[in-house]
Amino acid sequence: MAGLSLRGVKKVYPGGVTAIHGADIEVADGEFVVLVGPSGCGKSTLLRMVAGLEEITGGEILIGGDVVNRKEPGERDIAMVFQNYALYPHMTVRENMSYGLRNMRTPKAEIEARIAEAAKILQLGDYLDRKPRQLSGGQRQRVAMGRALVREPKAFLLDEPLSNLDAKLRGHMRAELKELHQRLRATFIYVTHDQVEAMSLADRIVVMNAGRIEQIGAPREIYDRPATRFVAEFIGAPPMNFLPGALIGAAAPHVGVRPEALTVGGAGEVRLDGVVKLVEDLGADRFAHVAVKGAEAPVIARVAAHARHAPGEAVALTAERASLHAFDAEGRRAA
Amino acid sequence: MIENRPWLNVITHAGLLLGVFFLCFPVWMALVASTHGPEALSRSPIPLWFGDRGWENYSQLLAGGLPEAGGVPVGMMMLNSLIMALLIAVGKIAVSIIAAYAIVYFRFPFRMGFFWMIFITLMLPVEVRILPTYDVIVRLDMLNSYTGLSLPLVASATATFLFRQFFLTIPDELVEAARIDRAGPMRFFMDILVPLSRTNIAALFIILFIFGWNQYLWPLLVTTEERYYTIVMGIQRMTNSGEALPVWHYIMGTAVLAMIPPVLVVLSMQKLFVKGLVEQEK
Repeated sequence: MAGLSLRGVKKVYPGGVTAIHGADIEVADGEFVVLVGPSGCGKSTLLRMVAGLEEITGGEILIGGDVVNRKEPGERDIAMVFQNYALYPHMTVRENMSYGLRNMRTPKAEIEARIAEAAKILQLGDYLDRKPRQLSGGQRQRVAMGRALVREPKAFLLDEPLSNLDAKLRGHMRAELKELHQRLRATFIYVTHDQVEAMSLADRIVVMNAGRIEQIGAPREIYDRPATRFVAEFIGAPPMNFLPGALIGAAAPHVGVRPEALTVGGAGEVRLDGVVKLVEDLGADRFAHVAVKGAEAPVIARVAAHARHAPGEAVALTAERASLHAFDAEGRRAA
Repeated sequence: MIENRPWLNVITHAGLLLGVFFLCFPVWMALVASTHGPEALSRSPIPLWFGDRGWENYSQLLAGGLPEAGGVPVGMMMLNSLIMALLIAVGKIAVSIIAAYAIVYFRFPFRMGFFWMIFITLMLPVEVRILPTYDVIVRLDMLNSYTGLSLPLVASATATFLFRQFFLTIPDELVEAARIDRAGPMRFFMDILVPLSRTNIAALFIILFIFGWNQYLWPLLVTTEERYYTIVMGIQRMTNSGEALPVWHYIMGTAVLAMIPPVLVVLSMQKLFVKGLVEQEK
């Protein structure tokens, strides 16, 4: 296990398209870092560059203090879990897990011991002699994880490993992954487009957009103090509301406020008058979409579960000034 | 079918039975004819049931040389055919799977150019390039040898194309996973690509073995010594009896014997063959 550094890493494709405009990330030993962003933002490319599957155009990648730019993927001492698992279809689970170790000429007894250990952690003991096609999606996902585990690598790289699972299983596997990380204390780099996964798994989140890093920080920090308007909109569901600053007497051109920071009625310092357009009931939460004069889009507010708001009803939304996020014209956080 | 009309069933079955009859009748005739004496087959009506000389005919065919076939024992011709067919089938598969591997997985100058060159050879079967090929084989001193019999038939654009199409369906992540698992190009080929191509190889083997077994024109050209004669040539030579009456009982017996190896190959690999045609293991 080891830390990982990316220093000014760039990726320019032969056609001249720049996928990554210089990324600097320091990952501490044992840290769980999640790269998150919309599709096409370069997060997968960045991960594949760390793995050695994609050539590095500029900058340096260090794994455990060694520059690995010119090393083959097999020589970097990393393990990767792919979105579609990429299990070898003609090999049994045991063979899938041992293939990398056999290529490294690991002694047989050692391979057996590591597989037994991984099978115990991942509850794969009964499936070791099955072929991947005889397994369910969740089991295949575990085998892919097991294949990474037995390598005892310096870092685990995971490329949207849960996105092929159904919603229920995804939640379950997410919890298992978190538990696994706590148990192994290994370095994880995890790519996802799902901000819920990012928030719940990460020690630190790297938010990316259009080949640039928008913000790096702990989940809470990213949520509470988004550095740019993009981060503010991307993290959080439903997303943060944006209003012209002038509407509430703020100096900044754009002001954001999270749905849960707004209350209907109440005695907040900022007040917005509007008309309820629709109410979304999600069970635990209930969101009202309120048309506010002067705002481009309906303002979404979380309302009390017992409150009954009907469409067409006139309401006053209030918020504390401290809960507002001000952004300048370029979308950067203003103070 | 959803319809349930009895007369339709009758017609369908009759049609199918007729087809089966047309396919099987020549084989049946060959079997029957090989159990009669020579005179029974020159008279009308031709017998439709087994005669009493089957044992005699087949032991004569297998043991002694027939003067009508140039005195070459049938067993030897079958062995020659078997060696040739196996060399062609194995050679074609080996060459084309390696060629397809190069074209799909390696970046080298004029890659697509080479691919299209291979593809164009589809239009150049042996029959078209027979004179230049013969010239090359003569200069290489390969007349009357197993190499000369099989080598010019080994290159196969069809098989290369088939393997290429199959390799293109293998997900990139599998290659990447193998790279992370420290499998070099040779290991990836032997440990992953070849096992995954198993059913394709089996299907191709059947087709190519029969293709090799049925070769006629090429063996006829490159062999002048009797110990390299193939079975298909042998049958042809027997029918060219000149003035004498054709030895139909021996010809048919040889034909029946010549059918056995391809039938065995098909039967033994049938399961894999069907799997290769219908099922894609992902």
